[in-house]
Amino acid sequence: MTIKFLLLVNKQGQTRLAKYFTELLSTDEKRALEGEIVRKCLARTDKQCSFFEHRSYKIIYRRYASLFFMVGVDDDENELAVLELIHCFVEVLDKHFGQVCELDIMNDPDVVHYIMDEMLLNGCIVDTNKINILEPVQLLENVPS
Amino acid sequence: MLQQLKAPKLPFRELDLLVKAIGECRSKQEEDRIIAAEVDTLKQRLSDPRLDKTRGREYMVRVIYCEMLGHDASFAYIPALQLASDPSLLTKKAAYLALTQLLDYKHELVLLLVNTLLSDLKSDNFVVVASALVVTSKLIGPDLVNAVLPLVIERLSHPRESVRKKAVMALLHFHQMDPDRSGPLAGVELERHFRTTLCDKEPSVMAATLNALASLAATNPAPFRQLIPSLTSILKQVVEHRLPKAYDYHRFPAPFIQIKLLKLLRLLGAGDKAASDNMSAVVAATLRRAAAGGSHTIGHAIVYEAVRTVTDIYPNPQLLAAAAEAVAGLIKSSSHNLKYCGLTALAAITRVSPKYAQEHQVAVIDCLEDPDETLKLKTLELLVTMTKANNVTVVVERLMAFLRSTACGGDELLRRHIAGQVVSLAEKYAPDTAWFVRVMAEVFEVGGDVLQPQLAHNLCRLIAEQDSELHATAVRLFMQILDNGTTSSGGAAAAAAAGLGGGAAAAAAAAGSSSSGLLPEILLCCICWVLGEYGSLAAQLPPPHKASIGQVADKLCAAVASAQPSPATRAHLLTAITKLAARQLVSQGGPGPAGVLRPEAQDLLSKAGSSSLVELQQRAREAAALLKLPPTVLSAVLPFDGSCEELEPAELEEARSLSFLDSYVNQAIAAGAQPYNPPPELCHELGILDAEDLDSLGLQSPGAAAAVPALGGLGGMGLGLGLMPAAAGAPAAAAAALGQQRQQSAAAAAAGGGVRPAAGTALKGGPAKGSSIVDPFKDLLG
Repeated sequence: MTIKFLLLVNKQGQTRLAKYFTELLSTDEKRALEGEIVRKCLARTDKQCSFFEHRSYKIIYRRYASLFFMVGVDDDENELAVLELIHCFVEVLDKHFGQVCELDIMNDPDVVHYIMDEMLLNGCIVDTNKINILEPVQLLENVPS
Repeated sequence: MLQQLKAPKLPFRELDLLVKAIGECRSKQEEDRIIAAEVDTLKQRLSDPRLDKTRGREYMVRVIYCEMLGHDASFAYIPALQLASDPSLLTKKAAYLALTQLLDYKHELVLLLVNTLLSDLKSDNFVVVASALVVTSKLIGPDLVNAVLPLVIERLSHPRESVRKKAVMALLHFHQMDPDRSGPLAGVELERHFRTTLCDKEPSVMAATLNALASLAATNPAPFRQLIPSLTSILKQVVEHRLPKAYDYHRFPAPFIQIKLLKLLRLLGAGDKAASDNMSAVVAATLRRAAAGGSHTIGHAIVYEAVRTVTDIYPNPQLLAAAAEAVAGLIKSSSHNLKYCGLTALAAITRVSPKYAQEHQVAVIDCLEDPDETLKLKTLELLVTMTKANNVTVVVERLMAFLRSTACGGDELLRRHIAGQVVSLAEKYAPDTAWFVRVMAEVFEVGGDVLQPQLAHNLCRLIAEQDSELHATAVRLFMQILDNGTTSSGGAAAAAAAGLGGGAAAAAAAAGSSSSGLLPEILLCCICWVLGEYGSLAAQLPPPHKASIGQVADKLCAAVASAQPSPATRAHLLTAITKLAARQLVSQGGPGPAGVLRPEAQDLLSKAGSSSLVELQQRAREAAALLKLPPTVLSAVLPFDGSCEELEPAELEEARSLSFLDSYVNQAIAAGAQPYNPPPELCHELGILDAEDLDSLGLQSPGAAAAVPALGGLGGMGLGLGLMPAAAGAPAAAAAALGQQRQQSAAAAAAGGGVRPAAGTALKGGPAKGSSIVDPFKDLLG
C-alpha cells in the first residue's frame, strides 16, 4: 500500500528508470540510494530471499535478464504481493513493447512512466487490468505529432 | 505475445544518439561527460526563443535522462512549464512527466502550473484530463488544493474509468495534505464521495477507493465499520469470479483487489468482536480458495494476507486453526520467500495463540540453519516470541551463536537488539543461577560494547546474594575466561586455535565482536569484582582451575593490562587486588615470606599511587594504608563476602556522621591541630550554613549527588568541590575538627567504623537508610 519508489537498474549499476512516490529526496540523495540498493541486490544469491532491509525501507526485488526491478516499501507490506506486482508490470511492458528488453525502456522511458502511472499512484496500486492500463497508452501511439 | 501495430516512430535523431552513447559507455566518468555535454546543449536549445516545439517531447525526455543520471536539471523548469501548455498531446505529457520528476509539491514554481492544470482538467480529451489528474496527485500542495478541488470532485463522475479512478487518487492525496481537515479541506466531506465511488460499476474505480478508505480508516476505523457489509459482499463476489475476466491474474480473480479488501477488513475488525464476526465467513472462504488455487506466488500472497487479517482481528478459533494450517504449508515450502512470509505469519499467530508455535518448532529450527541471513534473523525473532522456560537454553544458545557470527558483525543496531533479547530472555526464564551467570558473562563478552553498564552491577549483585557454591562456580567461570580469553564453549578449542592462528586474531574470531580479542569493559568490571571478592575460593577448586590468591591476582593484572582499560576498570582492579591481598594477610595471619603483594600487583599499586587520576591515586593510597593494618582489623575492614550484610539504621547513621571519631578529633584539637575548614558548599549541605549565607558568598549549593562523593570518596571524579584528595575520604560531619595530619589514619579508621567498603568506599550517605547492599558500581557506572 505504501510503495516508496520503483527502480530499474542494470547489472552495471546504471539507472534506467526511477519513480519516487511521496518521498521527497534530492537528486543526489536519490542517486546515492539507488547505488547502495543495487549493490546489495548484486551481492545476493539465488539461495536467498528476494527481500532485504535497507535503511528505513524494505526492498523487494526481481531480476529479469540484465535488469533489476527494485521496489522500496515501508511498514509491513505484503512482500509476496509486491513481488507479483513487479511481475505484473513486466507482463504489461511485454504486452506493449512485444518481448520487452532493456533497450525498449531506454528508447521510450516516458511511455514506461505512463504505464506505471496507470498502475501506481502515490505509492498505491490502482489497477492491474492490462486492458485498462494499455488503452490510454496505445492511444498515444496513434497521435500524429 | 500479441504483436502490436505501432505507428512509425518519428526521427528522434538526437535522442537516439544519446541513448546509444549512454548504453555503450563503460564508466561513470564517461557517462558524466556525455550528460554534461547534453545539459549544455539542452540549456542552449531550451532558452532559444525559436525553439522547435515539434521536438518538445524529445527535449523533455532528454531532460529526464539528465536528472536520472544525477545531473541538475533546474534549467529546464521554465521550459517544461511552457511546454506543458502545448497543444500537442505527446509534448504536454512529456512536459508534465518532466515536471513531476523534477519538482515536488513544495516547490514555488508549481503555482505557475495551476492554470494549465485547470484548463486540462476540463478538456474533452480524456487522456488530457487523466494526465492532469496524475500531475495533481503529485504536485498540488496544501496551498493550491482549493484551486483544483471542485474540478477534481466533478471528475469523479467522468464517463471514463481511467479518469474516475485517478480523481479518487487525487482526492486521497488532498486528504494526506490535510488529514485533520484543519486547512484547505476544512468542512469538506471526502468520505461521502468515497462511499459513492466504492459502488462504482467499474472494479478499478472501486479498487482505487479501497486505497482511500484504508488511509482514512488507519487513523480512525470506527466510522467505517458500517461499510463492512458492503466490503464483505464485494470480496465474496470477487472470489466467486464475478468480475470481468480482464481482472484475472494467472487464473486468480482480481488478487490485488482481494488483498486490498483483506487489509481494509483487518483495520476495521481489529479489537471489535461484532465487526470481526461479520467478516469471518468471507475471510475463511477467501483463505480456502486461495490455498486451493494452485501453487502460484500470488495465491500464497492472498493466503499470507488472509492469515495476517485473521491474527489481527478479534480471535476466532476456527479461523486461527485454518490460518495455522496454511502457515505450515508456507514454512515447509522450499522457497525462501515463502518461508520468510511463513515465519512472519507464524510469529503473528503465536502472539494470539501460542500453542500453534509448538507444533512447528522443528520446521522453525530448520530455518535457522538456512544460509540466508534475512531468514535466520526472522527465525530468531520468531523463536524469541516462542521462548518459554522449557526451551530457553536452546533459544539462547542459538541467539548467542548468531551474535558471535560474522553476519551480525558490523551492524550495531542488530547486535544491540539481539544482545538485549538474550539478556531479557535470560532474566525471565533462567533455569538456574549458574546458567544465568554463564550466559550473562557470554553476552557481556560478545555484546559488551552495546549493553548498558548497569547490567554488570546487576550481575555482581546477584552473585553476591548467592551461596558459596555459586561463588566458587563464578570464580571458576571467570578464571576460565581469563585463561582462554573468551567464553565460547569451545574454549579449549578457541585457545588451541589461538595458539595456531595467532592469539588475538583467533580469539577475535571466536569472540565475534570484541575488538582484537580484548574483553569488553563490562565483563572486566564483573570479573574484577567477583575475583576480588571471592578469588580466595580458587584455592579450593579442582585443577586445572585451582589457584592461589597470588595467582588469581596475577591473572587479573595481566588481563586488565592487556585490555587498555578505562580509569573505572583500573580502579576496580586496584580494589580487587587490595581485597585479595587483605584476604591473604588474614588467612596467613600476617605477611608471608613473599611479602604482601606479588610484584605485578605491587607495581600497579605504586604506579596508581602517583597517577594523575585522583580516583586511582586515592584507592592506591588507601590500599597501601589498609594493607599495613593488623589482620584482625583488616578482616573487619574488608570482611569476606560481606557485601550483602544489612546495616542497622543506627549503624548507618553512625557511619554517616562518623560520631565515633569525635573523641579522637577532640584529642587532636586539644593537642593543637587545626580544625578542618570545609568549603561553604559543603557546610550548606550539612546544614551548617543557610542558603542565604551561600548566596552572599556567591556560591551555589551542589546537589546531594555532588556532596556524596565528597563524603564517600568514591563518587566518580566528582571532586570539584576543591577538597584535597585524601581528605575526600574525610567525614564531613567531623569536618569542623579534622586537620591535615589525621587524614590518612582517619580514612582508615573511618573504614573500620562498621561500614563495609565493598569497594573501598568510606561512606555512602546516599541510598535510603537501611539499604542492605553497598553499591560498588553505582557512582562509577550509573
